[in-house]
Amino acid sequence: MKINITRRIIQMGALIFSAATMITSCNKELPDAVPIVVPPPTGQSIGNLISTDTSYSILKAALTKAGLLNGLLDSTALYTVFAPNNDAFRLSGIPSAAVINALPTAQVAAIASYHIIGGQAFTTSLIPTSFPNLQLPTGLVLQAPLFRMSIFPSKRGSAAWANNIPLIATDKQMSNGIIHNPVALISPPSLTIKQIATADTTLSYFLAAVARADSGQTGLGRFDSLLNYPPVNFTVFAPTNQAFRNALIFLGLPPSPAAFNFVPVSTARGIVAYHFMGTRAFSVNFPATPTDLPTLLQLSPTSPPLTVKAQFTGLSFTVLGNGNFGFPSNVVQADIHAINGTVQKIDQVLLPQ
Amino acid sequence: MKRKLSCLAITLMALITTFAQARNLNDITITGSVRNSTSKEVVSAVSVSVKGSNEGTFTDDNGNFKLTVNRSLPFTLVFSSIGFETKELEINNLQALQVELIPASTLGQEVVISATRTPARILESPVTIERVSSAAIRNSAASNYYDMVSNLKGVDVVTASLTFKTPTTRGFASSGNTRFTQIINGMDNQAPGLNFSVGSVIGLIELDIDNMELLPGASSALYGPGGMNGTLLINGKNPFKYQGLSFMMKQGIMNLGQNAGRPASPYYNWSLRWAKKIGERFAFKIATELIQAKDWVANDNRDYKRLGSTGGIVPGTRSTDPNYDGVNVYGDETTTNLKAVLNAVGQSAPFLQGYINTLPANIPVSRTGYTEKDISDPNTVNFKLTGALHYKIGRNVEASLSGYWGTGNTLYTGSNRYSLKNLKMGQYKLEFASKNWFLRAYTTQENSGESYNLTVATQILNEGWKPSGGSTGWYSQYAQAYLAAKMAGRPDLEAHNTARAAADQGRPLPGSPRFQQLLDSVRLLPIPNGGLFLDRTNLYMVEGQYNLTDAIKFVEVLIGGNWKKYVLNSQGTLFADKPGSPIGINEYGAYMQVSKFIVPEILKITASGRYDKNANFTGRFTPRITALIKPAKDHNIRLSYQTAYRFPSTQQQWIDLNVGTGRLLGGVKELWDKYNMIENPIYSVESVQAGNPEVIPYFAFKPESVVSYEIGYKSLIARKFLIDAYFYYSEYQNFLSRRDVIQNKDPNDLTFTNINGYSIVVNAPGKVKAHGWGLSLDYLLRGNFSISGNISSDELSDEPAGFRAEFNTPKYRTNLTFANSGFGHNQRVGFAVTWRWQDSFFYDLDFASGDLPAIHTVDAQISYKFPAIKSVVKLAGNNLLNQYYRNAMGNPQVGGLYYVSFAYNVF
Repeated sequence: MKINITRRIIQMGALIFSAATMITSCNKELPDAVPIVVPPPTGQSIGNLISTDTSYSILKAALTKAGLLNGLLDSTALYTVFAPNNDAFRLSGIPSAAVINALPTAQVAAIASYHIIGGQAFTTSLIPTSFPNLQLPTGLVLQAPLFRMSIFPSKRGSAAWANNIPLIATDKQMSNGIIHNPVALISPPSLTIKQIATADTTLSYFLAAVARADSGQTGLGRFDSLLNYPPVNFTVFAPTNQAFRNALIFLGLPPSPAAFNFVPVSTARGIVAYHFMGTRAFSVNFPATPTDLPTLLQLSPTSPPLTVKAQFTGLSFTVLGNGNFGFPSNVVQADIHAINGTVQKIDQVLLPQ
Repeated sequence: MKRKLSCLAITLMALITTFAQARNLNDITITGSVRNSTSKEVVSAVSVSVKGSNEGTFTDDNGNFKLTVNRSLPFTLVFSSIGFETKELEINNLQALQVELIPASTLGQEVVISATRTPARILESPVTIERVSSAAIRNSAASNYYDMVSNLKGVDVVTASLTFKTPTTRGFASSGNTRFTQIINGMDNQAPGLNFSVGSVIGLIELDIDNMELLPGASSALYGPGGMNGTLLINGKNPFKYQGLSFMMKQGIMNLGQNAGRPASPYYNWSLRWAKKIGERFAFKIATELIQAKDWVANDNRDYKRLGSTGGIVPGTRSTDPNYDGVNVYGDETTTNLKAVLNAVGQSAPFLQGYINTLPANIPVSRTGYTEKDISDPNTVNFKLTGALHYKIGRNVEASLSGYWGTGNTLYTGSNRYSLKNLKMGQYKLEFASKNWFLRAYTTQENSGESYNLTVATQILNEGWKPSGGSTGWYSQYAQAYLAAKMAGRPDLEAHNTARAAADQGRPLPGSPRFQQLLDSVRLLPIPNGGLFLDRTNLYMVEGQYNLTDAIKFVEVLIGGNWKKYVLNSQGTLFADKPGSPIGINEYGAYMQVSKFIVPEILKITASGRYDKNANFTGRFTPRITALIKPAKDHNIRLSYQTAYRFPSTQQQWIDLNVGTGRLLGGVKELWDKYNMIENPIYSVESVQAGNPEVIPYFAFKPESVVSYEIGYKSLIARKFLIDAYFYYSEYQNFLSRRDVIQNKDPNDLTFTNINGYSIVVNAPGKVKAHGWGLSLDYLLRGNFSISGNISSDELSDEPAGFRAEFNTPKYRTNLTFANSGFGHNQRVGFAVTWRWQDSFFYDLDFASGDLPAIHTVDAQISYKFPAIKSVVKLAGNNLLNQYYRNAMGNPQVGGLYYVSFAYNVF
């Protein structure tokens, strides 16, 4: 009997062990790192909308030709697109996809890529309503990898612009970003202010004044260099040749570019600096009532910059120097867009005091 | 101190020669041999003594003995040995004796010493105690005797490396547990500077272990500060008793299976012991062990979000989290807000500033790390060398001079993972022991060798390859590439990964000569410029004890005392010491124990008390009262009220260490002054995060104490069924912990943007309570079969909010063992199968915190004896099913280890 009990206990022991062994097969696998899974965005992609919505057929042709459509179809990517519809293209003188297809690819690519900001979704709520304007690098690469031609969205009240092109519809949320619709194409600049001024026969006095102001200066100390330096942002109130002639006569000098040599360099430098704003402003960004805006002219390195009073009402666009006895200059040609700023051509030289 | 020791050695040798000449010409000599009556094997280490006297000897490894006594015939010899019935023989002539001893069960009969510092039958111990005999170690599957401890009830073992295992009872399991003391041959085994017990590095070699005694629960009253949660005492074999040459070779294989961290690799464990008695008075032993293997791999690559010294596992991988910080990935602790770097890019390229401004304000990005496998030595090595000289002075006093030295490569988990490379530890002891007293002096000499902090070393390695800061630094390159990819319209994560690839271009590949050269230059450079510790901290200790029972008669009285001196010497790489001027800490203590059977053979009361004083803290008294009630023979109820406390460890007092994620500071006022934390106040991190900064004023930190109440029951039924059960309840006060604080670098700038981060030592407010219970059953079956099992539980309660006790203990754990110590022909075959299970729990440590899944393991062995050549061959598997597990966060995964061992003359 006793032996039986013992044997049974041994059997039970063996049983417990086999049971234990079974249980051990339940040891969990050691946990491993798990990737962060970002749920794939839902909804229509920007590229898909442009491909399927017939009101974007010209844009579609442009993006296709530029090789940019695939990127916009990628629903994991992120873009802000200023998407001109067919009406916008027509307003800009491109009536059909056929016209696009006839243009050189590089040109189409430059224009198309200038309407795209990569990597962020900018809603209009992020756009400032006062100076300086938001500067956002677009798909148009000037120098790889980081230097891209920027676009300059702005907002005044509820109206929004990209550069000086009004946005007629904004903040359309897509799976891979945001779409804003400009009223027309937003053309990228292709020249620097200097290149523009050099080509413009009405600005030769301006360049002569700059040359006088720059004598003795080197590198980026020269306005001439800055005017040709792509990364900066200026608004240049550039007096026409006639304006300079008037000013020279007023100063009792002959109305000729050579006359600048009689102007003291510091005076020339002061006057030229007084025509520069350190931000890039388009006409639409100027206030509707005359407002003091800083120029690059400082009387000493520590003193505040001198200001001009500028005003844009839609009908008139004027700028007034402190020394112009209350007679504002009219902007005779506005928003000439350069790589490094805007040129606002004026009919009177601005005098600081 | 070394010089003093050698002086003592010379004195001892002189004594030896003096006494050796004192031999009486009237001596008679008895010789004989002892065998096992069943298996007819010779039995070694049998005590052969003259009844009623102190004269005696032991059988040697061939079972032979030779006893010379100075008395006339007849007299009675007593033969006794654990595992055999005691036999008495009357000696009438000088013929050689042939003695046979009858095997007997040891269940409940074993004698333990540590419970009361006096010998007592384990059944009658007044506090919970467990014992592991050398016989049990022999029949165990465990590749390392430390693993055997984990099969005792209430024990958790933390595996920081194949060669770094730390047992703990009653909570707070970690490699650096300072609440559990390991006493090896009477010496506290805690590394005085690194503060972890180094039993598995320089402890005894397996062949030299006589027994292990485990005292779970508070034991300061007898063993001094520390041991709040338990004490493990490992006792070596006396060379007078255990003689001869023995050796053991274990050859194994590990790192198997598809989940292995590296290719399958061999495991070697070779050990040798030689002890010899020369004459009747002198004996020596020498023992050595070499363990060599490719270590288990710590490869927890889960993403860890650190907030100072706390944190948790979060989803994420290197390719899906730009701020990824893998638990066992190093160097990726370096993190920065990329926005600040982007802003610096915007400063030099203003045309990007608008774009940068609209990116999120906080873009945390970590540097690319290296895995533990890349930066730690794969070879784990442990070499131990032990030697002892024993000399009997007169009849009753045995003097011994012993040394324990060990070195190795292993890994340790504390506030970081540390590669303990070429760590060297030595313990040297001179002891005089008699039946009633002992006096011992020992020193622990620590040398951290080429040990380095994996996190810090890798961070500096990264900086050495490519600095994080600067306009051409890693982050600047990252920022530019990130911007370029972003502006190209790529998704954020892709932009991060592109940026990382760009910044990591040319990154030295693990294992490449360039990488190795960088790593070597960093790990061999002392902190703070590299990751190297220069720790040479030493401990000196003198202690003595006297049992006055013989003198006092009516009550058992024991008195003892000790003096301890720490000399912290890290050349400023660990402690706040300076090269050439180490920091000394003195500690002394005294204890007394009185015990008496109040009701004869039924109720015994023992009261102990201890007073200790540390240079940096006020003195402290810890009492203990125990009662043993014996309602019937072999039924024992034990009740105890125990108190224990510990002085903050040397690191908790004096550490001054940048761990890459902040600076660990000890609690002494000198460190508050050094970092000006009183004048320029520190704030708790939580309060600053909550927006309501709260100053932490200076406070004097206190030793931690615990009061523990316990009831237990032990009984032996029919000499084959042993039951042991306990329940305890403990209250911790002034619980020592760390707290993250920050300080503004500029006291006048209260923005908390430019800060110093520290982790300081604090006492937790209020009481932390713990309770638990355990039950074990051992049943002896016929034919040497046995089945035993236990279940135990530990639980913490009333943890103050926001406080981290780091209890780190499963609520339940069980062990079940089925074994046979000898069956079949001549009882040659033995086997053991052990199943262990522990519940899942949350593991919390400075290095990493997270959930640990439940663990099941099965260990098994089968052995066969060859009596003719006194050898045993064993085939064993640890973690037989090769299911990898981790028993602590940040620690390596442990898989199956299979070995075959050949042991010669192992007794």
